[in-house]
Amino acid sequence: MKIKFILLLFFSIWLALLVRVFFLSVESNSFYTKLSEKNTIKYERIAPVRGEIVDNKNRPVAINKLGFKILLAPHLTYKKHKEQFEEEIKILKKLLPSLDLIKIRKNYKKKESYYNHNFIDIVHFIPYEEIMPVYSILNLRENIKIVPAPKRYYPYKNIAAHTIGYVSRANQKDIDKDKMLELIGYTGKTGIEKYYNKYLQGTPGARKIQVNAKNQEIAELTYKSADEDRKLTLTLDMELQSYISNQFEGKVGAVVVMDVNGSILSAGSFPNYDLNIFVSGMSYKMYNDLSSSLDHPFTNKLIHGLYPPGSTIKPMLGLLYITTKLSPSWSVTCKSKLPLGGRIYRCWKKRGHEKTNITKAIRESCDDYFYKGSLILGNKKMSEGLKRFGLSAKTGIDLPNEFIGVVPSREWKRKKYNRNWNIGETANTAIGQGDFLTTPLQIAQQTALIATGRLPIPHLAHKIGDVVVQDTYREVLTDKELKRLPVIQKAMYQVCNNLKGTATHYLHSRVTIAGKTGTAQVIAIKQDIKKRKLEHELAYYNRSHAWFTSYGPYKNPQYVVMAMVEHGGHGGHAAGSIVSNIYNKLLELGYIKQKKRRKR
Amino acid sequence: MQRSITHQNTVELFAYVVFFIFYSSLSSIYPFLPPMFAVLFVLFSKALKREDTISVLILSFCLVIFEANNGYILFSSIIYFYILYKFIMPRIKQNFSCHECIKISNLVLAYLGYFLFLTLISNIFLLTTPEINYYIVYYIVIEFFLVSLL
Repeated sequence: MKIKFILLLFFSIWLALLVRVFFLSVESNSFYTKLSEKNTIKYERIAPVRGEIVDNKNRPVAINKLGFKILLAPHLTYKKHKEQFEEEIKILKKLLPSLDLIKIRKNYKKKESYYNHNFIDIVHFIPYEEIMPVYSILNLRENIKIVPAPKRYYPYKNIAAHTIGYVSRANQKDIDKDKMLELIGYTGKTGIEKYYNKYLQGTPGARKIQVNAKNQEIAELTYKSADEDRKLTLTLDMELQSYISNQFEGKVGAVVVMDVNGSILSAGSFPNYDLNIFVSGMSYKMYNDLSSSLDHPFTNKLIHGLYPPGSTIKPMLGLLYITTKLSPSWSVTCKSKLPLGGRIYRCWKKRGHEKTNITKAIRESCDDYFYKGSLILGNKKMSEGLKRFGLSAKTGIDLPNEFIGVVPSREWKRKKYNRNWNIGETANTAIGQGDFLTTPLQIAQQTALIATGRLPIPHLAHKIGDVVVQDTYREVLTDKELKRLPVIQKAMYQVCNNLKGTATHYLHSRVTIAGKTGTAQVIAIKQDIKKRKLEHELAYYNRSHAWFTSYGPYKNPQYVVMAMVEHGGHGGHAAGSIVSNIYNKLLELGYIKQKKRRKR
Repeated sequence: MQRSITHQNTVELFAYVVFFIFYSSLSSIYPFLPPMFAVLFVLFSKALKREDTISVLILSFCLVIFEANNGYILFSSIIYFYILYKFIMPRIKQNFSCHECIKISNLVLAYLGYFLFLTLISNIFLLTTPEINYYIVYYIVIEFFLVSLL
């Protein structure tokens, strides 16, 4: 009886144990499996190597320089490890004298915490050549880890700087937006680097590893490599871009060379800066000098610069005039002065243009024609038409944060300033002045519209990986506008080829082009002034912005070349020469094939 | 003063237990020392047959030590031995008249049967399956002679 009782007791305990085992092992299996995996299995993400950017001839524009970063074991600043920490720092300084110890300590302390069990990144980048002689010594040390860390490098330095953009260390704001940046560390901040950041940065890989109680790796369980080394081919030609940079030496402004279908061969904003200084970091003084410069080197004037378009707007307005209320044969008699709303609106030509029709008005840039035309057309029709052509909207270029500019209208003014529109503003808008603001790229896009009859969407990417980026465009012109477009084209041809054309004397291009000059005033001319000062007599910042936008060859338009020189004075004089040289370079590089120049 | 026979037995049993603890520790280190599992089974069966509570308790203790040494489930060997003794051995005895055959079946059931029993439980409760090796044959042979002496 006693034995049976004892055995029953054993059995009961055994059964109770089995019930508990069942609960732990079967019922809570997934819970405890996860818990144990957390202790023993660790996931490590592998940072992808940023993709490279090349130009249309496969020349590297943004590449990765091979280097390493140095990491230090965590918790070394605690009392019991303090000596170890000092020893490691001492050795690093001895082997790599160029290291900044203060920065190293700062980097370490910033990330050191009880909860961090990962190695801490203390030196973000050391060039390959520098680390190699000491690699074997450092790699033997238990507390030091050396891992590959590529660094962005821009071989063309300041060429097309604004367009290419740069990468820099990701800040907390960037990390909040994209958690992956915590691992990668760098992100595209401007230009193409920012716009195609997702594509270029790739996707991280992952390692599943088994660790012991000391968090040391025992075995690698799975390995998934990062999706990296993606290639972005641009439409830019860096040789042409370098040439244009030389042309713009000492000038401030923007230039764009665009295929009439939207592919951009060259896009520059001046002055520019060496992109590599952003990757390595620059001194406070250097940053201060650049950011406080009145020439705004950090601004990509092509898409972020807002300027009055001046007379470059006349071809688009002219097209609106002759397709709405006016006929192509409608003409005015320009007497140089038009009294309007208690003010005198002057034409640039002191003696006036006399009888002027649309062709002459564009060819000789007659302001009076456009003043009078605008009064017939009215501001509403003008602003609506220009907006339909694509102004006051993004061009759609693959660059971040493009500005849209302003096409002034009654509604816009009321909304913006809560003030009434006056008739003089209609006249001012007609010559691209007043509140009228455009970006240089918008003017180039409008020129392509005049050249081909369709509005191309500018783009800088030629191939994303192996996928070719197709040209896209919008049909914005009505049938009537398309029918009367040759009138404007002919007028623009005469601007560059007729002896009375505003650009003819400044051009020396071997390509037959059509274009439009623009001299956009930045200060108002006083009403009582008898004799206007010449541009070069004005103080630099009072001089007009010089525009010249063109397309060529005239008969078979292939490229739009637009140049805008801030405070350059007369459009034809300041920008015409640059544009001519660019066409000649296009010819030399084989982009334009033209046997001989048409005779004027 | 003459010591009572009951006390003498208890002291003897206590000495055996102490010896077993040492021996069991050694056998877990040196695999050529058989764990005496089958011997314990025979002794356990005899104790049950005699309804000797003290012996059953002491042998149970030895079995628990064996389980602990090998990382088996607590009381699993006792439960298994009881099942063997109560339900399986009577059938074997019914079918075999040969004593040697019964001894061999005792040994095989003790070792292989227990291994299968543990495997079954481990599979049901998702525990680590016990490992078996060729030493078991050696243990069966050695313990056959020892059991013969009992």
